Amino acid sequence: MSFEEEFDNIIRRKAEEEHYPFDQNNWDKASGLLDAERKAASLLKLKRFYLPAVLLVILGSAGFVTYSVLDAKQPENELALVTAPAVPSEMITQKPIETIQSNPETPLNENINTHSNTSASSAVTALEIVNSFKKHTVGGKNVNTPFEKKSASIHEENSIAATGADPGLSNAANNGDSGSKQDPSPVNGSSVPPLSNNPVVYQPGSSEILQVQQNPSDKKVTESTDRTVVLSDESVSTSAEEIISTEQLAIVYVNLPFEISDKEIASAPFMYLKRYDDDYYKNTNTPKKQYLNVEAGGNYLLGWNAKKGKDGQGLNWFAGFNYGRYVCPKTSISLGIQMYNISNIKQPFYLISTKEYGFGSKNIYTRVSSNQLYYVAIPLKLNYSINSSNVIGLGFNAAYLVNAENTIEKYYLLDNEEKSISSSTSYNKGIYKGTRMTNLMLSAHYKTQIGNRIGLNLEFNYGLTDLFNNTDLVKTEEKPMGARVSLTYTLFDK
Amino acid sequence: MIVQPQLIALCIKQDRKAEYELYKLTYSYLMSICMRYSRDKDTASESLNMGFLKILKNLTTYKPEIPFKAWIRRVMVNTLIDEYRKNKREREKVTYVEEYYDSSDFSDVNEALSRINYNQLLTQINLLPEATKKVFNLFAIDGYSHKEIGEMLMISEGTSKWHLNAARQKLKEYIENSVLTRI
Repeated sequence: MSFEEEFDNIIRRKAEEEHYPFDQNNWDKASGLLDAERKAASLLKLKRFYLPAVLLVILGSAGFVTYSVLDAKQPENELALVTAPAVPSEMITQKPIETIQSNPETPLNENINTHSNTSASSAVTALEIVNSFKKHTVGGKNVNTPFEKKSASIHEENSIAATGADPGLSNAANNGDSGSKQDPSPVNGSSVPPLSNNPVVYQPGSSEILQVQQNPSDKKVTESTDRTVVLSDESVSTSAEEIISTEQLAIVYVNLPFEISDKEIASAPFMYLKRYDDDYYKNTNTPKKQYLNVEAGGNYLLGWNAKKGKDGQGLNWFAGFNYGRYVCPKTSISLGIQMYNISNIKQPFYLISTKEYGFGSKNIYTRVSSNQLYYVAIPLKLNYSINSSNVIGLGFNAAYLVNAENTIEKYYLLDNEEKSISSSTSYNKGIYKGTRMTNLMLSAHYKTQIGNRIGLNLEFNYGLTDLFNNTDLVKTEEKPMGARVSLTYTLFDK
Repeated sequence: MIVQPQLIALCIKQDRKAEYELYKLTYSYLMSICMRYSRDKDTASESLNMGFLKILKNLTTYKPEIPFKAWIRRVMVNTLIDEYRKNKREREKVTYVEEYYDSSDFSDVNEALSRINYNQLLTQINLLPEATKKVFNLFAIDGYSHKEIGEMLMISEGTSKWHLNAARQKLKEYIENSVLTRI
């Protein structure tokens, strides 16, 4: 034993022999620290659980609000059917009518009679005429107006959307105030009940007036079984001028430029069909639903602290596709596939020493450096359009390591020797055990359109994963963090 | 210091009484380590508490085949070194000098050293520059190799050796001045 070693031994022995009496105050402090740490840990656990839930609620609320705002722009569409204006009862027939020739000279009943004999290939019933009528104006007045007020109250009372011929209006029509003529002649062979002051009961499924009920005192709309709605006779007061002439009714009907399916017919009394909007077909600005773009660019990594200074710092590349779906006009969620690399790694992540015994012994040191890592990634992004050309968003990028380029250095040291007696360096491709297979990153991005289809994307990435599972001899944390600049080319956005 | 496996099991279950017992049992040993690495007793107490929290936190990873004393020593030393690395202000830029001291005159010193009071020696160790003190503690007392020390303190092996020799030389000078001159 050398003198130095003996010197060390004496000090070691003295250090170990030294006794320090227990200090209760120290324990109190340690106990406090312990409580604080456990409280913080439990809070962190809660955060892990609640954060996604809170995010979900926020996103859900945002989506709901956005949807509500969009939906609020078309309120009359939804309420309109309930406000169906006066319609002569003859118009309500259970048989579909294919075409009605517009002839202002001919009374409506004659029109109907004429066309009821034609084939019923087009599934348009007179019921939809009622629906289509609500937007029609007569004498510069919007017929909807008084009815909408009523419909709102109906809506508030949670009654179902329904239609019915208003007796007051029917009366007016009967009296010929608006030029319409009433003829109790049969339609399609069935007799049409005369219009009266009694409330008309309409059975939605049958498209037929089932009965007439007397309910003068009740001004509310009541719902009976089979979704039959009774409108009281005094519930609406409408002047004769507001009644639409049968000729106009016929014109509107004839001009309907589409076919209506059975499904729509079935639901017609309960919902307003948007296509009845005059502007429906003119409106070409339909909301976008999905997009696909291709993206490629550079990724500058800031690197991480390693034993001999910064490592992994430098420029890398990435490329991929993004497919997005709009959840509302301003917000979209995109999912993609990407390839990217992390290069400029110079320092070893794996260092191991083994001892070899022969004549004496020698130590073998193996150092592995994965200089370049290749990943396939799935980027998930939430995008918000500030305006038509600027988008911001947050994302999450999950990547899987597919390959790596490595340098393996081996050097040999004899016991008690400082210099290596020999060394070797080799290169290969493949993934070493200490390399993590996944790389998770959070991202924040900003995209601006610089052309019709071309956009410039700036993205900041924050690595969550330590890229290497180091040995005891190498203790560094390799988390990739950096900024990406890329160009995107939109393949479609519709 | 004998720590029963049952006590460790209770500590894993976060039983406060068991934690208190373990703290009491290990206090003196851990404090002796902390005192060597820290400037004063207060700092040593703080480090001890930090290290003890780490010990409790990592008890689940403890393997019974390893002596508990050696395990807590390693955790404690790692905590102290981590603290040192975090505190960059304490890091000193030492000019690396490739110089080895003549060890022929250690025989007298060793004799004197065995007679010296540990507290006096500890005071002298604490007077060493921070990096030198760390290297000396790690190598001479805690038994780490220069290679391990180099990786722990992020210095080269040569620098570690230089620090060790510097520490020994300073302690030798102290012993020569304070003890041998009296004799």
